[in-house]
Amino acid sequence: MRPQRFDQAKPFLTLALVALAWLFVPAVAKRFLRASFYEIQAPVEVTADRVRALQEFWVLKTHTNNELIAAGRETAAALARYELWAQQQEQLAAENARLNSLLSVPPLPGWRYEHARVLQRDFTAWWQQIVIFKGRNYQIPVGAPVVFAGGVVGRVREVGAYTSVVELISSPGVRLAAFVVGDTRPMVYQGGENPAFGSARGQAENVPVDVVATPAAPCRLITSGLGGVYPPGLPVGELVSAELGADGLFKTGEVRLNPLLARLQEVSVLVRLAPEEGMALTPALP
Amino acid sequence: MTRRRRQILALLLGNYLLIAVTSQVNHAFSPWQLRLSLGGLLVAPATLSVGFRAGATVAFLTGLLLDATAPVWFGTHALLLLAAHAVLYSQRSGLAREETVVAVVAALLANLGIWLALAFFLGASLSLPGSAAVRLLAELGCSQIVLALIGPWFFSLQVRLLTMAGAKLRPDEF
Repeated sequence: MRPQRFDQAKPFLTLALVALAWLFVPAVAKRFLRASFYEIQAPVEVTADRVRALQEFWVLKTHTNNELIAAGRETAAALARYELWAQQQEQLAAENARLNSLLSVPPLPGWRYEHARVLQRDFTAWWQQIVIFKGRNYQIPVGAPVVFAGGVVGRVREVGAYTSVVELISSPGVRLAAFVVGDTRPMVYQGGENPAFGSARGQAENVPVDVVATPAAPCRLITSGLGGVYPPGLPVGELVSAELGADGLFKTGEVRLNPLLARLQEVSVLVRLAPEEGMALTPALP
Repeated sequence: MTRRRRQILALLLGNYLLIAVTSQVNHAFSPWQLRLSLGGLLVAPATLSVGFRAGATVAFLTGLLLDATAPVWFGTHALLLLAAHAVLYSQRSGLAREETVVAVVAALLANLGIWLALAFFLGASLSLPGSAAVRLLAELGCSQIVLALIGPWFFSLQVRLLTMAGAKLRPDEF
């Protein structure tokens, strides 16, 4: 009969042995395991999304004909406005291309929009990420920027067979270079504070001392294009405060992010095109 | 298939279901920046109802499921759940395991332990640990309340799954 002390220690000895063995498992094996366990869970997210879509469908089916007619009129009006803007956009793009050719400016890299439905949102104090319903099946690359109507969403962190994980700009540790609209001096945006029952926020560092921002008169932040991940001119958020730092050279401030970031349902992944493949994306400046 | 393997599969199926449901609830709660964490409930039923090796396998594999979708070092949740299993298993002979209240309290304590360990390991990645503490405490409070509410249902589900798999322990095996 084994002594009782050994029986009591057995769980902890096993734990120590497993932990030690796990440290020596090759990285390739861990990567394979991670991908396998990730793909095992993907069908659940897809099925849940399908159920939600069905739920929305039946909710819409309860609308009366009069409500549908009114919605149709609003949609027609919006469509007419967008058609006009699309024509203006084409004219501007043509003008831009003509001026670039006159000045012999090398073409900017082009982007392809890949629209994707958000399957799952996972927001903790440590990370903020979403899972989207497009992956290797649509040639989504790791590191691709992701945007929505309100601006930057984040960048693709992981790509699965038919889903991808996107790290949001509200995630702590995410950093990108940004400008205040109308200024060309870059500052550093960093995701950070995400209080419970509130909207996500970030921090701005290296803010020039002459930039003044208050909650009543915030400054809009846009991507600078530095670093090569995000195209320039995409909205990031609003700088709502700017206080002089301890060094006296720069200010630090708080950035209010778009509250819709926490309710995302559709996003667009920007996939970089080869120079010969397409025109440069000209993001709409706010 | 051996009885132990059937136990592992049945318990893993239950845990997979709980992870799926929790992820959907977290999706719905995301506009409020709130996330439930029910790690203790993933460990306690296996620890209290099957042998050490089967329970350890369930805890480790369930942890890997959690690790696969989280941006953490692969193995963090697996080793934490295994540690919670080891601690709970070493104390289980002194517990009235067949009592649901005792099992739920054990799950609550395991959840608290896992959460504290996770906060300790991941806390360094937060840029503003002070303000984040309020959020973490709010999440912990909500998680514990939800765990206490759904704990009896989940323990019952796991027992039913074990019975269906023909792998439930007899009373004399406890």
